Amino acid sequence: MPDTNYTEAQRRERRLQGEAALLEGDVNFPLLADSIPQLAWMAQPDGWIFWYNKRWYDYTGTTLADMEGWGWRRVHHPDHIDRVVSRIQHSWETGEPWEDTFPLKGRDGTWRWFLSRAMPVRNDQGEIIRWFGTNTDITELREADERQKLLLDELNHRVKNTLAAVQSLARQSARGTETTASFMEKFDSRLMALSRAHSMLARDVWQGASLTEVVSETLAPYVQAEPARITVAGPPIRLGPTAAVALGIAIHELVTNATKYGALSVSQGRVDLRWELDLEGGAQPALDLVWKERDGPRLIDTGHRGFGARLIEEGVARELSGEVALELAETGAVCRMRLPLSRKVMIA
Amino acid sequence: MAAEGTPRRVLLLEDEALVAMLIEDQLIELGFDVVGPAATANQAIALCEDERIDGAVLDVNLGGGQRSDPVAELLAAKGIPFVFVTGYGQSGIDGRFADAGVLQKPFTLSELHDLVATRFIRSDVS
Repeated sequence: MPDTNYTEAQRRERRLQGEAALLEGDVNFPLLADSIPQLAWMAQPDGWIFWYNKRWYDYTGTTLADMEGWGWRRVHHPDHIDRVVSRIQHSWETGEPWEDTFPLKGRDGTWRWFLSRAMPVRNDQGEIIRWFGTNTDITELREADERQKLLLDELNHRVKNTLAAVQSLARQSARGTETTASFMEKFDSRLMALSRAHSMLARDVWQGASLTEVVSETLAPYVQAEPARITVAGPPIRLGPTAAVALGIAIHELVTNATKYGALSVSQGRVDLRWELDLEGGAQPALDLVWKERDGPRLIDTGHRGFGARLIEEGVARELSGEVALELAETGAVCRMRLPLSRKVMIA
Repeated sequence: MAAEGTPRRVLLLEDEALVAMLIEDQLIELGFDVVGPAATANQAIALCEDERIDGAVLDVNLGGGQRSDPVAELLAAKGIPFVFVTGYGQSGIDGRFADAGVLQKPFTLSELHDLVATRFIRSDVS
């Protein structure tokens, strides 16, 4: 490790050595100019460029003969050149520092974005004797900004859609509800189901979620209470974001109904949730999912269709272009879904 | 709220099941007959071909990068009025449809009413 504890006298000595090297021309300016990560150039006070560093030539694939004077316009983009010329001309005339951002054409014909600056170099009398300019490649920075903007747009879109989904849950929960307390109970429980679906999506940066996770998170409180009564089995399936929300809420409706009226409302009842892939049977590869309640009370179909039934039979069926049947059987509810594989329902 | 005579028929295109249920209910409450709801552009186009439609409410982004623009094109060609509902606001609307009304989600029943009431009037109803 180098000794960094210099005395003041030693510091002064080193500074003088450096200054002497500069005065004697020991420091090779072109070498210095070529070692910086920027493209660099120098111009006469009127803007005639007479020197570029090596990086400029390496990047643009040009020569000094191509570029000197105002030849640099050839590597500028036609959409930007007029603005660039007018602003740099303003600096040549006024001596104000120049700054602009524009694409420059590389030797392979592709464009990259550069943040470009130039400062006037003045003599003792304050007259401009030349300009020194640099172009810094900011292409990756701009791309990162673009990605961030897209991500924010997408997030904003999701937030707004989620608010509409919450509005929908409120409206559906208010139907046929007589007291505020029973509205709040239904609404809260659905809101929690929506929230759990979102937690799973957030884990995967909103790209989707696994069906197994959606099912196990939704059923977790019920399975924890009575592990032997609920069985779940099926191969790994990946769901798109909106499918994860729709199926999460659908399964939540099935399990709450089972707890209130179906197989989980009596001590011996059980629920079996299974799914499998059918890659050959039908016209289109599909996921077959069956929710089956056993040993539950006989359910009587009163013809009344609640939110859960509507969401499953209409909402899920339509959104996933599937066939869905929900029936009240002898020993509890049975729900069958045949969901064609799509960009919303995929093999994991 | 329903117009006199037969109710006007409104196509709804919205891919998210919960949101589709909400807008369907809102349209019914405003006195419209709902055609659909469709969840994909193809479903909506099939409904446009098969059903009488007096107006349409279109979600802009249908998930997985799909948009409702092909449906809007077809409706425009048929002279059927339509409005967009979106999470993005006006900025997400294709410039060709700048004249169509836009509602940003979420919206109230009366906002939906104000946007569609004057637009979805059948030419044969005075």
